[in-house]
Amino acid sequence: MDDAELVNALKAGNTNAFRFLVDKYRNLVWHIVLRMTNRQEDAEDLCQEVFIRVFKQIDRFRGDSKLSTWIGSVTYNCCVDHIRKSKREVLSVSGSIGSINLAQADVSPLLSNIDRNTMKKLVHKIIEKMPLQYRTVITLFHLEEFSYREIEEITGMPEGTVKSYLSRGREIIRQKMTELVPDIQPVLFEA
Amino acid sequence: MEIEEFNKNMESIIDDSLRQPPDFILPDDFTEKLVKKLEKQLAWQELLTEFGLKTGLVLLALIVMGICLVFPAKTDPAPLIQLIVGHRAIVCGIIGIALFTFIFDQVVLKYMLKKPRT
Repeated sequence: MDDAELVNALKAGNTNAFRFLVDKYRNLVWHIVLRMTNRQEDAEDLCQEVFIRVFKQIDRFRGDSKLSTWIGSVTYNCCVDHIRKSKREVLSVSGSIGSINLAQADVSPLLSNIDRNTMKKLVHKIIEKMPLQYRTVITLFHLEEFSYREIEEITGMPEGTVKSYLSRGREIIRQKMTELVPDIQPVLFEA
Repeated sequence: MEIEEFNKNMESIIDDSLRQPPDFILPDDFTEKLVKKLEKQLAWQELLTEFGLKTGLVLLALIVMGICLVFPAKTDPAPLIQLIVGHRAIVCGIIGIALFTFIFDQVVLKYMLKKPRT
């Protein structure tokens, strides 16, 4: 079933089409929700809310963009609403990142045995500590492989801002890694 | 040369990590649970809409009946209103029982007996 057929079936209220939609896009929604909320406890409920919202609002999908992009934007808005309600994080659209609050103690269990896999885990830890906009844009671009244009559609951030978040985010990861792992050189050269 | 290789390796680790999905995964029964939840919501929505429409129709029929009884015969509605007001407890009780029976029969029972759609 292609996306056009899927949308038509959903508009007709077909719950089997809904099942197909969930199976097809569950990872996309899960990754965005998990990275944006940083809380596994809330993430499953939020995913359910996203899919139910998608089903109820499917009439608003006009087919101007890809279905995945539209689902991405529904997910993004759902997460923003959730974060606003729980007031756990300041929703700032400014480019300022301040300092990432990731202490040596947070990562010391990882640092006892440093190899490439541990380094990857460390990168994930650094992303978790980044401000919302950075981790959202990084997830959408690298993990879900959306284009700059699509990320603009999903988040409403201008393309230039998206690019800037991506390059600065990468720079921060690089900086933080060399800061947290003083003996990074051997690990990098073991590859 | 070494710096170049250092940067290259660093970039490759970052790239790999960024493309790697988070460790946690959604439970296997997520889709089934969600479909059931949606079906429940849809069933409630459908039954409540149906109930609203039926109640509206009954009320409309009562209003039309009242108008037909009172106006053409040019009867004075005052005694009827007095009768209703005088026996308001009984009238409210009858309306309450009728409404409860109607809700129970049209919404609750139907919801409980409804088989999940396949």
